[in-house]
Amino acid sequence: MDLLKDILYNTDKPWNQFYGWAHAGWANWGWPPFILDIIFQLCFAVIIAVVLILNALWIIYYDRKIAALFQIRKGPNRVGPLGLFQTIADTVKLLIKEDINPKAVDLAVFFLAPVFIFIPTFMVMLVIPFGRGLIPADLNIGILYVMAITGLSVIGILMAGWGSNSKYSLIGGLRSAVQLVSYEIPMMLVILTIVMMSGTLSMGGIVQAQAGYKWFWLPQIVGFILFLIAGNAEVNRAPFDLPEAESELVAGFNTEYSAMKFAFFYLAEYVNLFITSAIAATLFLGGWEGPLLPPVVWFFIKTYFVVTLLMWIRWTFPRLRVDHLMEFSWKYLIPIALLNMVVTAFVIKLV
Amino acid sequence: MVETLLFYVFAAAIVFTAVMMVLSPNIFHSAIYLALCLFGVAAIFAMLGSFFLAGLQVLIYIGAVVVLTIFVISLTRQVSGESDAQMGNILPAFLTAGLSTTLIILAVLKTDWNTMAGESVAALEKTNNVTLLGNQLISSFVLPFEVISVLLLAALIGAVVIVSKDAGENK
Amino acid sequence: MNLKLLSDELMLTGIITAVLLLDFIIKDKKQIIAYTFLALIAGLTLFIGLHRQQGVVLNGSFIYDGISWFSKLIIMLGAVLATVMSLETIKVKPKYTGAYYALMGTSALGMMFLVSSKELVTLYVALELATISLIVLSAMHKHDDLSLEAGMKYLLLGALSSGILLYGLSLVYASAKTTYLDRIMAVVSSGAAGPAFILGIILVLLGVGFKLSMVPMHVWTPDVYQGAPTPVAAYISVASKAAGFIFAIRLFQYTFLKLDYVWVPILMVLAVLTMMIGNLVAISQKNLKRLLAYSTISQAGYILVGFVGASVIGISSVLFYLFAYTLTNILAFTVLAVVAKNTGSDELADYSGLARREPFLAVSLMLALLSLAGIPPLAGFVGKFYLFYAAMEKGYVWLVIIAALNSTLSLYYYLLVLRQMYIYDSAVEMPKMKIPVSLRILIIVCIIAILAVGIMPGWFIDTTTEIAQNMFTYTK
Repeated sequence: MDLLKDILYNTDKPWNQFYGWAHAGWANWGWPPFILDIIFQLCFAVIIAVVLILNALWIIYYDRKIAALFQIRKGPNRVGPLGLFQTIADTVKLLIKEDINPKAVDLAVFFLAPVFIFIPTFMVMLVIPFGRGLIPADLNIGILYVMAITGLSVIGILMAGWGSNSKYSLIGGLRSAVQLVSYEIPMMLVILTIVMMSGTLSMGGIVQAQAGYKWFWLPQIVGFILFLIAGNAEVNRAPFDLPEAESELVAGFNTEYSAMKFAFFYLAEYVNLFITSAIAATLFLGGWEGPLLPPVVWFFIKTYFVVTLLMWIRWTFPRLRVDHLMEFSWKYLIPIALLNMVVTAFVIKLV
Repeated sequence: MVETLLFYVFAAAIVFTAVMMVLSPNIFHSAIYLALCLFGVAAIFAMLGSFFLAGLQVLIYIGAVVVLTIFVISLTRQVSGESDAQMGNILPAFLTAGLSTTLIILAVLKTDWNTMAGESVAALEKTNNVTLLGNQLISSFVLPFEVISVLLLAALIGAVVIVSKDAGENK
Repeated sequence: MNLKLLSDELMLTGIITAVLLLDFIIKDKKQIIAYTFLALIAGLTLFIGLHRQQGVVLNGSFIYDGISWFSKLIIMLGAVLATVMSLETIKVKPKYTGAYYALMGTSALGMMFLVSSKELVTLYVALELATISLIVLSAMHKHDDLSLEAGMKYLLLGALSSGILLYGLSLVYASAKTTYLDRIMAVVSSGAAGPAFILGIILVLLGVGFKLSMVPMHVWTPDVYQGAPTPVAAYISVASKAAGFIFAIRLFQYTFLKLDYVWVPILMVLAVLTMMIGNLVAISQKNLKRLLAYSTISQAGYILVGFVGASVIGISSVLFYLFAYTLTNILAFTVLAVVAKNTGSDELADYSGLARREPFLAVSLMLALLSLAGIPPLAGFVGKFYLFYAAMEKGYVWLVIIAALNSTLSLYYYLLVLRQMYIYDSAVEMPKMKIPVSLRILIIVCIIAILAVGIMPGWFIDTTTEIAQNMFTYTK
């Protein structure tokens, strides 16, 4: 019983015990210890991948249900109880569909684009603290790593847009890249402010800095709102979904993609949504901290709170025009974020 | 042992992508190779225990420089069409590059690096090099740090002046 | 920390900020900004001239010694003269006036940091600040394709050379494990310089060569001079080159002095090549701006002759020549700017009969060109004589002979220009040229200065010698 409690609440303690025990056992075999470490890393990778995909399946279903709620209709309700298996059915359909490669595409670029988009989203999960001690790798540059790796997916989007050799894809890809680059700046400024307050770049450290329910969302309310706006833009969702604006661009950069490759894009979008929410929960809502319930549960509650917020925004606001989009970031978000940073710096120094 | 192996894997990847970047007839492919090459450099930084530099390398070089390059290529080139390679001058280019590379390799190999004073990598790994870097930037290197702000201002003004469209001008 | 030593740089930063704010406030009558900028930097030049300081701050990464004082003066002098020239001749849209003068300021700021820093990172950042501002300035005539081409070439070749420079600096850093020049010098003195260090020095030499427009890094010069607005070309040719030479002095005559068996032979060969190529190509030029560009390349060659010469006299002669050269080149470019403003052309053919139409301009240009060629009693003669004397002192007789021959060769194409102005007559009747008052004053001031320096060089030579000695005695 104590062990179960430890696993749920203080995951690092039993884990360290297990790790030491495993290494001791391994030493008897006479193999070099790094092979065991590599095996552990691989296990982590598999666990993360499974969690990632299951979570994405659920989040897609959740999004559709929320959408239905806002539009006063039922949403998915046929496959399985409450339509819960709808996404699984859709995924299976996508997987067994014919994979069409248009003739004029640049094949290598066209093939690699989904990979370039999906791998970074997977890599970011490495530094997200799911619970006490439940962080695959607590790098000392945690949040910088997140920003660097998420920046890589822009290349994937541009590759998809250019490799498809179609005007809709190209325009969608370019719009997306412009948007991602522009909204990365206010986002980074906000993150910098958080780093100033917590005095560390490590994700675990940022959660520690908020211990004792001194969550950053209240002192950083401006930053929190900016982060939500910029984060929403980073995942290309309404009202910032110009890259795939159906009514003008067919489907944006993934117009020419079908079957499995399209599934990658689709999945990546929802995984990104989850990651942005998870980072928001870590930076502003105290990460896994919370009373009674195990930390992991709290982490998911907070993350899904942010996910719901973003979905709410998505289904209530109309789409922006492309030049307004740029103006909004450069003329409003960035100055506000800078001002926020300067004020925070003074407050930290004076208080 | 593993580290040495990894180092050679990354080094080989860097050299391969760098060569492919130069030789690829398609400029978009060149840009992708460049991104991979820079990623390899970031991996080497990470292996040396300098995660912060590795992060910055990815953030700035891939996330900004290569993205900008690809963006410009997307705006100006066709997917299919004429090759961008200028293979006419390949011999002198090869000679120059080969000669200078040989010279550099020879010079680096002939140098006795161990006898020189300096902190070892192991000593650096123990310190938190993000904090160290931050402190250095505002103590020993405060002057260049401040001059860079003027540099960025000048670059910003320059970019605005050169790019901005004047009324009644069709450019 | 003694911030008083940084007062010049801080004041210039203040001036740049003021210009940008003024640009924001003043909606029309943008000329006000230009005159304000001119007044402020002229004041600053006066302040620097009268207020020489001595000292080091920031662990020896920033030094205010004689050489930085003198070169700051040259840079600010170049900036002031180029600004006066800009007032009436640049064709930049009014809304960019503020940006133009602000960039002029930032480039001067970069050069000022360049001449007074003794630490590699600062040196590099300052160099980039100066170069990037100059790149934008040369592309400032956006309506003119040549100007855009100039900016483009300057940018690409500048990036290439700064890559080479940076690679060299990183090899130096890797060998010496420090970026401070004093400590690098200690490493050099201890004899611990390996092959990588030497390779680093050679690469640094090539990288610096870009600023000096030294062969083989000279190819950008003619195109940039031709395309850039004339005041900017003048400014690049004097201030940027002066800053580059001070950079070279700090690195080679000071830090790597013990390794002179490496860089002196290379520099001697490059000096000969620079003089030869500059002079030979200049002969066939039909555009006066390109001709002056090649002439500045050959001038860089002459300065290198003095540079490899005996240390104190060598540095002193380089400094003296830079001063004389600044005045002379500004004078030549001013005449070009006036003519171009009236005729809209820099072609040599359009200078036919200038002596009859505008004797004032023709005489000024003649004085400038003769000073460049090194004819007594003009400033250029004393400067060149001093440079060659410095090389003789070290025993490089053959180098001096080649330089003297080149000097004679250069007289040929300078005389070609004079022939065009004095002997040929223009085919069409031209209207009288309008010479703005500010430029007339500028020309007269330059002529007086050239004559004064040429006739009474004693005081100047004493100053530069004292400064050169100061660099070696005041090392702490």
